[in-house]
Amino acid sequence: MGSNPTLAVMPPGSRVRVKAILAGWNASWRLASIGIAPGTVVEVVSNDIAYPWSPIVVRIGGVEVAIGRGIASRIIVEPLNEPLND
Amino acid sequence: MSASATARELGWLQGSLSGCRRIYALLGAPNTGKSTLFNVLTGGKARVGNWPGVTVSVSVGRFDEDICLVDAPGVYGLGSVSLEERVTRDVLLSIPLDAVVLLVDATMPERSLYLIVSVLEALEKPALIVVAKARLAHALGIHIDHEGLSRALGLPVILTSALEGVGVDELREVLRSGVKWRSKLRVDYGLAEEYINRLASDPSLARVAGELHLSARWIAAQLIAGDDHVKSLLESRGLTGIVEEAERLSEELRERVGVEPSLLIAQSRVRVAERLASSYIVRKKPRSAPTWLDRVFRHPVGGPLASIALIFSVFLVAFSVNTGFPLNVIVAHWSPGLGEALENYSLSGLIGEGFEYLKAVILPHLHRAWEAGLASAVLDGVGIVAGFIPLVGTIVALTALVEDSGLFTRMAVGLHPIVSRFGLSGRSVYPLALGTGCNVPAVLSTRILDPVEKVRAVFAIPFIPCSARFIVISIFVSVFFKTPLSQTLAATGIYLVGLLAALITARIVARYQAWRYGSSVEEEPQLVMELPPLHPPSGKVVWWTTRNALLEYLKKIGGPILLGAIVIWSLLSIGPHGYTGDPTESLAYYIGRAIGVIFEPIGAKGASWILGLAALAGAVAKEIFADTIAVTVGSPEPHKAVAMLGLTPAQAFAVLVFVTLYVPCIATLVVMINELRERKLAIVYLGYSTSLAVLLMYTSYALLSLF
Repeated sequence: MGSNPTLAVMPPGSRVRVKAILAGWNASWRLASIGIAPGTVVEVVSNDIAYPWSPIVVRIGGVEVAIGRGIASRIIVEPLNEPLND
Repeated sequence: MSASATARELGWLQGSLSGCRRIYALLGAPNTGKSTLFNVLTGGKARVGNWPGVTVSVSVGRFDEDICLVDAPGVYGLGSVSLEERVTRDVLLSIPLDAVVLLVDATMPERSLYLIVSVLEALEKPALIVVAKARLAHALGIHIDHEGLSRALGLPVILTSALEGVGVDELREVLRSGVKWRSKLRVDYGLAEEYINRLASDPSLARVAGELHLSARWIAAQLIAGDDHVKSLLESRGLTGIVEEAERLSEELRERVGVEPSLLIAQSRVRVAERLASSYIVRKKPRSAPTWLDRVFRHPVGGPLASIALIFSVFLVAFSVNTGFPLNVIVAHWSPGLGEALENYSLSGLIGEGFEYLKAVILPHLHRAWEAGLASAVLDGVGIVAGFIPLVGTIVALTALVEDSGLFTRMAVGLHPIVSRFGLSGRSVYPLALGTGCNVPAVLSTRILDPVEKVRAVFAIPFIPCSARFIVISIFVSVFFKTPLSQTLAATGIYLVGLLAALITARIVARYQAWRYGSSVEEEPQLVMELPPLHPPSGKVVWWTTRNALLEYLKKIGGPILLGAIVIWSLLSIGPHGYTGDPTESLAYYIGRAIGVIFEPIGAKGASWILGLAALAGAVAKEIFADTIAVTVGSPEPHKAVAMLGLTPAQAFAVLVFVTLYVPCIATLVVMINELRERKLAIVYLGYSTSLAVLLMYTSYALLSLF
C-alpha cells in the first residue's frame, strides 16, 4: 500500500473524503448501501487506536455507523481541513 | 443455500392478497418506523408470512377491507447482498403491485434517500413518498423541504407522525383513491453511461424489463455492477447472451477506468442521494452530545462489558419470571418459604400446576388404561407447549425492548471483537444470547444475519444450554454435587462447555464454507453497522411484536411437540405383546437399552438403559429427560428418582455434557429445517452433534476421574 492514509488511522473529529475502497464485492456493496462510496465525506466520531479490536464509528448524513477495523483499513481516505459547516 | 423467499412463501403472499382492490408495498430502510406506520394504517391486524420480531418477515395488512399493504423487510438498497434485500426484491417482482410507498425517516432523512433513488430507478411503477416521524424530527431541529423534494422527484410527499396519528388519514385517503404518479428521477452513471446504454437498448432485455416492470437502464447498471441475482434472473429467461455481453463490457470498463464497476455504479447513486440531501434537508440545531449510555457502549473495554451485563440482565429477568430461578435461590437465603413460593408462583410453575389439576380432573373419568395413558400424554404435550409460552413471550418482549431502543446495535458492536474470531459477526451475539432462554426464538432471530453467517449461527445455537436444559442441569447438580461451591462450578462448567461447542461449531462451518464456496465467502465477517440513536422503546411496538411472535409459536411449534409427545408415549406403552403399563416391557425399553450403550464407557452400567430412554425422550424436549427418569424409576419426584441412578460426580457431569449437546429438541430442529430449508443438513447435523456430545462426555469423564 502507498502512503495514502486509511480510515483506520484517522483521529476522532477529523473529516475525510473516501478516495477508494479496496474491499471485496460484498463489503463494498454493503458500504455503498449505507452511504459510503468513493467521494463521500465522513466524520470520524470515535477511533481508539490503543484498542485494536474496537471498531471505528463514523458519522455520515446524520447517522452513525460502526465499521470494523478490518474494513476500515481498506478504505483509503483523504483528510479534509475545512471546518464543519453543515 | 438459496436464501430468497421460497415459492411456498410467495404463494402464501399471493393468497393473502386475494380480493384486494389496490396493493401497495411499503419500503423503507431499517429503523425508519416502517412497522409502526404499517401497524397504524392496518390497525395492527397483520398476517405475518414469516416469523416476526427481529426477523426478516413479510406482513400483509389491509384497511377498508380491500386496500392491501405489504410490509417488506427494511433495506438500505436493492442489492442482493443481504437476505432482507433478496426477500424485498422477490416481493417486488412477484406480486401485482399498484404502487410502492417509500418511507423517509424524518429524524435521519439522508439514510432513506439512497433506497429511494435505487427503487425509483429500478421499478417502473407509480410511487409515493411518506415522511415518518415528522414531529420528532421537527423537535430535533431537522427540516425537510418536502415541497422541493416532491418537485425534484416528481412525486407527492406526505408528512406523517404515525404514533400521534398525524397525516395518517390523509395517507389513507391517497391510498384509497389510487397512486398514479411516476418519478422522473434519472441517475447519471458518468463513465459507465455508454456501457449501460448499449446494454439497455437491447430489444430482448427491454422486453424482459417490461414484463418484470423494471427499468432496462437499472437492469443494465446492475449487470455492469456484477449483480448475480439479476444475472440469474435474466439467464432463467434465456438471456445468457446479454449476461455474457455485460460481463465483457464490465471487464472493458474496469480496464478503462481502473475502478471496480460496482463501485462506480454505487457511487453514482450515492451522489444523487447526497445531492437530494444537501438541497432539501436542513439541520438547524447541532446534534446533541452522546448520552452516557452511548459513551459506555462506545468505550473499547466498557462496551464489551456492558454488552455482557445487558445479556445477563435479559437472562435474569426471563428466568426469574418463568422459573423463579435465580431469584428463588437468592430469596431463599433469607426466607426459604418465600423462595419456594417464588418457584411455585412463577409463570411456568403456575401453568404446570394448571395442567396437573386438569389431569387430576379428567383422568378418573377415563376407564381404560390406554385412554388414561394417551390423555395424560396429550395433556403433558399441550402442557409443554403452554409452559413455553411465558418464556417465549418474555424473551420476545425483552428482545423487542432492546431492539427498539437501539441498544441491540451497541451490543453487537461491543462483542464483535470476541465472536469474530469464531466466524461470527457482532450481529450473531443476540441470537446466541437468546439461546440461553430458548433455542427456538434464537434460531428464528438469525434472520437478521446475512445468509452465509446465518448458517454458522443456526448450527451453533443448539449447543447453547437453554432454560429447559437448565432444569436438568440443576436437578443433577443438586443431587450429585454436595457443596454449593462444587454445584456452582459444575453448572458453570456445563454452560462453558456448551458455549465452547457453539463457537467451535461456527468456526467449523465457516471453514467448510470457505473451502466449499471459495474466497467469495469471508471467513471472518466484517462489521458495518448503523447505530440508530438510542431512545425509549415504544410500548405499542413491543406489544405487537410479542403478540405476533406468540401466535406464530403456537401455530408452528405446537403441532410437532404434541406429535412428539404422542410418539414417545406410544413407544413407552406398546411392547412386543401389545399395550403395556410397565415401561420395562415396552418398545421404549429396547430402544433405551440400545441407546444406553453409549453410557457404558463412563461406568454407568446399571443406569444406562434408563439414561438411554431418557435421551430418546429428551429429544422431544430437553426437560423431559429428568421426567422420563422419574417415570421409569417409578418415583414422582425427579430429584429422588435421579438420586436412584447412583452416579459419581464425574459421571453426573459427563451425562450433563451429553444431555446439553446431543441433539436439539424437536421444536428447535423444526425451526432449523425451516430456516435452512434443507432437510439433508438436519440429518448431517444430528450426526455431528451426537458425535460431539459423546466425544465430550467421554473426555470430560476421563478428565474428572483424574481428581
